[in-house]
Amino acid sequence: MSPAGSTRVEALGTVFDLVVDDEVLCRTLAHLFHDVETDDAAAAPQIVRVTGDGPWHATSPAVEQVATDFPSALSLCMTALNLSAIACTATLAFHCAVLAREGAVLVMPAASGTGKTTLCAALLQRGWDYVSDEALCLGFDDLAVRAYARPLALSTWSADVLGVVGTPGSGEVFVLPADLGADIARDTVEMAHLVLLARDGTTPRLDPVSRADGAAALMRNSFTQHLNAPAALAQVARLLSSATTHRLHLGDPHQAADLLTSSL
Amino acid sequence: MLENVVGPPLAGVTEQTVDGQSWLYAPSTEQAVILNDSATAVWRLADGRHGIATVCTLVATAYCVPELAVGADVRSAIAAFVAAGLIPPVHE
Repeated sequence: MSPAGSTRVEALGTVFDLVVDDEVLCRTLAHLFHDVETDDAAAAPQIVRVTGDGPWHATSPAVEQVATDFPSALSLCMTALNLSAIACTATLAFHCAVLAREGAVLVMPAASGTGKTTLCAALLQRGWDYVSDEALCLGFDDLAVRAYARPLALSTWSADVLGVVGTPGSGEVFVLPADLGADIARDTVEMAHLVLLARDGTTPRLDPVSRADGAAALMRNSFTQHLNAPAALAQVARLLSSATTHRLHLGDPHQAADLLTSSL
Repeated sequence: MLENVVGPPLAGVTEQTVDGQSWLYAPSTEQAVILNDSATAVWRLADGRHGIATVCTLVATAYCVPELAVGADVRSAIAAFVAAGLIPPVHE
């Protein structure tokens, strides 16, 4: 079977070609990755290759796996690209949701399952611009925030709560910022607010925290600080020198998003 | 071998000075610490070559105050370094 087509995307500073046999899967991926598509003529892009039209077999720098149904194949492609981007990147990347408003960038570092993507989507519904639901991406020697505008991966629960209809994956729903009425923030901007997330089921509350707590959260959630830990710590210190630092006690995502929007 | 030796920093501890302020990160505890001036003075002496008493003497000399005036703060700073995973426990 020959490829139905390929989509060239840029993720965390690395160029990938998604080469897919299945025509429907290929079209769906091209739609979902529209915001990270690039015409960069890189000499040697990394390859995410998906063969077959059921089952689907994905090979990539970080993942090699088989999916047996279409939603799982879609999720597999997303995972393969994301994990490969993290594995290949030479940037300083942190696991964070990142949004922007009026030139100020809000960064929310958190492990998976904390609720950051749900909150990110709720903020996009309130007029924030999208940078990423996955990574704060910087250089090791400059503080400009790069967009990694992959589709948001919401749990089905989150999609229901937010009233969002997207493209179904395996136990998740892929949503484009445009589906939430949001734009992509592509201009070079720097972090203005760092918000740590605490999922404790209370009424949403925003408390100040120390810069040391902020630094610890960023370092703990870094994908690539091991590449140059001293430079990473220096970048974190510089980021925090001019940013506010808070902890948001998450409750209802709508209320939490309202609180952040009115407070920052 | 000194008794009460303070330090040296544990493996993997990262230190950076940014705008004159010392930032430390301990991967074992995933804690970050930002030092004020006096804590920085103690940290500089936590190199595995000085005991607690010597650290107190040197800090007191540096700040031109009696040793008694700095002893509690020095011990508190050292305890904080240990708790944060920046240096090994000090055996007294």
